[in-house]
Amino acid sequence: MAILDIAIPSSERFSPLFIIIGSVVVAALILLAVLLIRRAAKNNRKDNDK
Amino acid sequence: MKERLTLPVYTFSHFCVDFGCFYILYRFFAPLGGSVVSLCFLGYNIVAFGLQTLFGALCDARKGLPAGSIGILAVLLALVLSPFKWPTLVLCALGNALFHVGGGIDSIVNSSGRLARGGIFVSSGALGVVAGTFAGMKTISLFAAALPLIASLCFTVFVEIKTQRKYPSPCFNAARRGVGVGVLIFLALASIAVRSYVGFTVPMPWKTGALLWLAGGAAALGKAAGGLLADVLGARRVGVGALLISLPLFCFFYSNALLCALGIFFFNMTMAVSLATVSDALPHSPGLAFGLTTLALLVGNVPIFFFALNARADIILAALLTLLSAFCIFVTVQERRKTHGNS
Repeated sequence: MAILDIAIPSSERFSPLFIIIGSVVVAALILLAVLLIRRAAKNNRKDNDK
Repeated sequence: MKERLTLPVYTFSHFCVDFGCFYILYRFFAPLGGSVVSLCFLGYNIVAFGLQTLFGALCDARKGLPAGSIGILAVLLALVLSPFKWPTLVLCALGNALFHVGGGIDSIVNSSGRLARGGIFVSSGALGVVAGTFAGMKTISLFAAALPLIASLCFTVFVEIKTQRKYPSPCFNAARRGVGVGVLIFLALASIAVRSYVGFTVPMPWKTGALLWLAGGAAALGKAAGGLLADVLGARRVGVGALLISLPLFCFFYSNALLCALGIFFFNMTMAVSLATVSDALPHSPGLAFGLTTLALLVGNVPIFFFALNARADIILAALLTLLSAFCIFVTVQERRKTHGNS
């Protein structure tokens, strides 16, 4: 979790290729995270009930 | 004994891993120039920060997995394979992700309910990024870049061999009671994502050359101090207060190196509070909790590749988003921390 902001090059950031790749991949990662959270929350409830 | 040893080892290794990764990025990829560089950084960020959620969940399911050592080994391998561009990039990003999860889990499960540990572990990464950036730009030898990684691998293997496979579920008492888990996680992660975006967009024209150390040092000190102060003064007070102090420093003094660095210091103090909040929401899943915070960092980072505003709009947006982040913390974090201890 290091600071990223001091190392990102500022050139050529805004081409449509980046927007498409970035959006699709990040959306997939968020979806995966939601599934993992739901699974973890379910397991946490089970552990708490024990 | 073991818990006391793992913090300095993981903190040192965090510096070395980020040093190695940014050495690779700046030595072998930054010179490529043009859109390829941005694609490399975007790809690196997505793998290194986006996959920590998955690796974290994997480590929660298989407790005792030596993720830290495997991560460092992957970064070392990336250095060896540096003539092969893309495998190097993927390996160093995967190694970074794995190491962070390993160290992050340790900073949560061995915290004894204190926020300081998370803040201290994360703090050294900022310095590693700056050191690696300079080392890569000055093209120091591969062997010299590998030395700190070899040292950190030895230390990390040692502590991970000693690590028990069953670890306690930590309780930071940071998350506000009565708020649903879903809402808690969403607001805490939104607060991180918003801060990540703000951190990138506030214009800091002074942040070049040796003054990069000032920015990195301020961020590192802020993260560590945030955890330590939250243990003393209370998580919500520190989280909200630090953001509100950073706001005028960013908005009115962004071109002044010292005052803006002070803003960076306060801005980063909130990190340990957010980590503790997400961890409290998922007490039996420390790896997933840590990974979610880095995914939020990525979500806040990606928009900067998509669009740019002018400096004035950036400042206004940064101010509004900082207030929003402070509000999210106010809603999700409780006023007083009651106990230190594992539940």
